[in-house]
Amino acid sequence: MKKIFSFGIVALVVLTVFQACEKDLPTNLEFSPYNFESLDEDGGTWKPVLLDSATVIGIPAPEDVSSAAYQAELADLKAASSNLTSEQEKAVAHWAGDGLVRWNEVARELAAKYNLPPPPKPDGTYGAPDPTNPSSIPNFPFAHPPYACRMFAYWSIAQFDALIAAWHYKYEYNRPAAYKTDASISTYLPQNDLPGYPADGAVVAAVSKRILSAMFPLEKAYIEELATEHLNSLQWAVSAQRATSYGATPSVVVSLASFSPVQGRMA
Amino acid sequence: MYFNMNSNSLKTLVVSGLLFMLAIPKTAISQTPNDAIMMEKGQLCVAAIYGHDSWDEYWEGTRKRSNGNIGTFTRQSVMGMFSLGITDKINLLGGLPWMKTAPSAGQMKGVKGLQDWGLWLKAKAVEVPIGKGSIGLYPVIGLTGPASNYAVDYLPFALGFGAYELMGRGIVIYEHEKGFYLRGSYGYHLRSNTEIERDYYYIPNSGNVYSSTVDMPNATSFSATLGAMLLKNNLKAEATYEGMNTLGGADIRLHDMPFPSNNMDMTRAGLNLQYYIPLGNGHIISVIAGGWQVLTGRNMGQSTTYMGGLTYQFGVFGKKNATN
Repeated sequence: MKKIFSFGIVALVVLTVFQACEKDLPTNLEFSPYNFESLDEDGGTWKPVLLDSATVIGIPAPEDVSSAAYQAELADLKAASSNLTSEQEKAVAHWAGDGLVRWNEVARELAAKYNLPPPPKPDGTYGAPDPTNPSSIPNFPFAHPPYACRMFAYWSIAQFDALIAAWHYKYEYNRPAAYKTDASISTYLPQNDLPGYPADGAVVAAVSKRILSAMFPLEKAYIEELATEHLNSLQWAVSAQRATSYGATPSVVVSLASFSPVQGRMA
Repeated sequence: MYFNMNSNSLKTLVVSGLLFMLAIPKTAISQTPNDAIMMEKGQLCVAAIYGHDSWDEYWEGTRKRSNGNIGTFTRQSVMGMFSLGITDKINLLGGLPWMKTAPSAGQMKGVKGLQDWGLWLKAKAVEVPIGKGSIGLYPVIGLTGPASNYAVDYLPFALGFGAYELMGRGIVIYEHEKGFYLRGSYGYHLRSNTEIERDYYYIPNSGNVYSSTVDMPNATSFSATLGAMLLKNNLKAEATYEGMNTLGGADIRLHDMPFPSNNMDMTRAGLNLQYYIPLGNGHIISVIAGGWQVLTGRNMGQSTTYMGGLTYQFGVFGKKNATN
């Protein structure tokens, strides 16, 4: 009986060790917000791939920083970023550093999710995905490698062009980021001299939403939810109190002024 | 055991252990000595078993289907096992199967090689007389792990999961003096992570994983057996209902490949026979044969299994003669 008892003890110890060796697996790229080497001030003059020029897309001039409308936006921003829930804090940490990386992860996830060949029908024939009825079997799209390549290409080009346009207007209007116009505003994101309007983070969210929704129509709701969270996270990131609680001293080109009226408008 | 055949029993263990092994690539249930038979101190029983299982329909999630790119899936295996009586109350068991998988149609090729080694310790913890019989309690602990570097992310042809598995099982048996018995067991299977041959994968309803490491869900297993000793204790006949339940994991999506961490469940029913032939010099040979049919399943094939083999029992230390 004694032997059996020690047998049990040994078993328990082994089990514990066995389980303790397992760690969580990485489900996204882990990084702290970082500084870009330069602001690419001349980015607005780069040659877009699809747009004829950066000015093809019109962005209204922002109101003056002394205007009542802008002051109201600042007040909204401060309100939005106070008393964050833990979910909101997680969203800030997840998105704020580099939306391009996160949207790339989303694109990869959807490419993998939809990489399913059409199944045979009962009569042995195979159906084809139908873009006009994407939820019929087989679902649209069948994201085989050529389709996935096309999706990544469209999405990359659209971001590139959209950011060129954004940079053009940033330096045309030269409206400073919120933390430059109001000293009481701080941010989890790194500070820099990039003009805040239009917000490049919002541009990335909007263009990603547009392209990925077109390529994966059944995922519209999911993509919409992610885009909204991305946009909101840019506002939530503004919080002097939390600047330290996230640990890093972030710095990224993405500026803070995500509350600008251009949200969702690019692309 | 209540009857006078304590020593002979390696076969049972073999039977139940092996069987399982054959059924699933590296199965939760499998490979586990599942009976309540103990070798006496110093007795060694070795066994060689051939197994054959095949299916032409499988469950994709809970949808049952066939697959023209597989046709009929067949797995054959040869397994060596031993059971050694360290003491009358503690036995050490081991097993090593070689197997070969093959489709009958399509573009995929089967594989062959050593699957997973297994070592188990079985103890006789309690045996109390009750009326015209007795009740016994037998805890088992075991460890299995890959015996060769087989490809893991190649189900259903992969030889196993490539993971280490620590198994704990409790066996309860009621034996009647007339020679029949009822046995039940419940096991928990703790699995290590495994490594697949790519550094990114997608888990349905979960998302991206940027790693070649796969978190394998744990599993439970159960069995219920009605058995009898016939022909003056020379023939053992058993009918078993058993199953395994993987705790978590995703379903195979419509027309997708299986994945090692899928939620694999199944129940099956089986019959097996073992005939003992004492050799007179204290050694015992036995012949075993059995068959199983998977009844319900999830993310697994509906397999039909046959097995047959021989065991040879002899004393290596202590008393040289078996008491049969």
